[in-house]
Amino acid sequence: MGFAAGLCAGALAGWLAGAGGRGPAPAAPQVRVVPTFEAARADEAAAALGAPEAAARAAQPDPAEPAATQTGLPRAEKLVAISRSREPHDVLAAWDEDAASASPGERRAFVLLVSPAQSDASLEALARDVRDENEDARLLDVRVYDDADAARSPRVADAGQRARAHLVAEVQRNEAAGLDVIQVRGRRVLP
Amino acid sequence: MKRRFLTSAATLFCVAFVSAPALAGGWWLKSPACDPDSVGSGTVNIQDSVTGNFWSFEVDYQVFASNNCANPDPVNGSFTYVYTVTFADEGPISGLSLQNLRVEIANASAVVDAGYLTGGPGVQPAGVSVNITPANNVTASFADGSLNVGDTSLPIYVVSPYQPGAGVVNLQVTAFTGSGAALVPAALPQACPCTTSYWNLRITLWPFFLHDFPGTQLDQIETKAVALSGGFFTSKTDLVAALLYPGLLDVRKKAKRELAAVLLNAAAGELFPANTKCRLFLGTQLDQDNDGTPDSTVSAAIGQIITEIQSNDLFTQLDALSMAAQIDNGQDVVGLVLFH
Repeated sequence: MGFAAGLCAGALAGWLAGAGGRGPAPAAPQVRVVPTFEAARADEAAAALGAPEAAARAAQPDPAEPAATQTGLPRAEKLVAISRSREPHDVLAAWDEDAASASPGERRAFVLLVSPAQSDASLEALARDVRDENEDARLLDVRVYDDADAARSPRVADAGQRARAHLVAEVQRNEAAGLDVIQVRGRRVLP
Repeated sequence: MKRRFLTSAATLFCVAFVSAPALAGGWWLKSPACDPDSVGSGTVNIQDSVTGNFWSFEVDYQVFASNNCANPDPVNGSFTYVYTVTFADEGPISGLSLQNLRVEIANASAVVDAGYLTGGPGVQPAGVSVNITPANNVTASFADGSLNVGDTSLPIYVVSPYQPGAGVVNLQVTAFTGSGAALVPAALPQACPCTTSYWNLRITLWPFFLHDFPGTQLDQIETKAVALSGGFFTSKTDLVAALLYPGLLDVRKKAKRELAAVLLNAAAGELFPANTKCRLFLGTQLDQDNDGTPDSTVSAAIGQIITEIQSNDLFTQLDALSMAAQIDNGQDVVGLVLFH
């Protein structure tokens, strides 16, 4: 027992002496990386496109553009007609990509007005209704405000702070981007 | 009295000295110069509820940013995650070994590199691979009988642009599995969108940018950008024509030009998330009203910009132009980083 204690005490003293010395800093570990993931070695050396192709692209004519820009959000009756939710609301604006077409387009937008006192449950029901009524649209952007002026005012003036303060519900869907969201007063609701 | 004190001190020292290496797996990896950006450990228990058998493991992890001098495999714009597993207790049944360590990750296509580190003691895995079943994961598999009770693995590393987030490490012994919490590549990578001018120059083959998105990558990005537009851009030609619009006065066309760049940035991020030149992600958060709180995402903004361009209302189109330009310039992008 005494011998063992003495042995360990000696080892302790030796270790303390070694640790207390001002020897060189410990060396960095000699770490080697062994990659095993073959996909990381994908070859990226394929040649870039040639300049003539880009020049040809730049020379492509602009696609046909619609009539000149006007002021005031449009209110397409063909879209108002499909908005049949029983929850109280007004359609301030509604439009799609082709105002001349009699049928609703693939990319639709709605700006709706509700009362500031409208309940979350009512807003959620309204949002679901509008989403369901436009399920055939590839892209849908619905904004529900509780103040008409805020809904119509340009956002560039105040970074959209006033509009956002009165934005009480949103419906956003974009199939290609995997987006399908309903938000009511900042709370995300499963569609 | 003095003799008893010396005996106690020596005994304590001996116990501490002998047990120290077992406290943390991969201890030899520690650099004297830099600490990891995040470290942690946890116990994973695998339980057979029928027989009451159990196996316990300790999993240690370290996360390094690309600029951390201790990062064993630095890749610009990505994080390096290092995991070490120690077989701590085998319960009443002996003789079984660890077969798989699975690090569950958010996106299997965003793994830049994976493997194991050598240079110290530890059990070498038979392989490290990226899999999509049973969930997206990086699996280190060990040969039967190689990682037994008391053994520690060599450090397993994963390089991914995905940022650290709470996740799961799953271990397997025969048919039994158990999970524990760990930091894993879980959160969307940091965004670094490119400007409209950049994309204009890249698509017109400006010589200094030819190394960005080489080969067929640019073509893939254009195709993806058209798809993300939900039919707004009808073809790559349509997209490129909008991007190259040189005018100043037509607000609608200027907004389309900025939208084209937003779509190209998002497509570049979704297709090549580890690139450090131009990347946005559909889930990247935006702070559009500059109140310091995220209020939208890139995917939502794309839909809003498209519909606002279609409104044919001057002020609404100006809003669309402003929104798209601020995303391309990184002003509204939360957590924006420049890697170059």
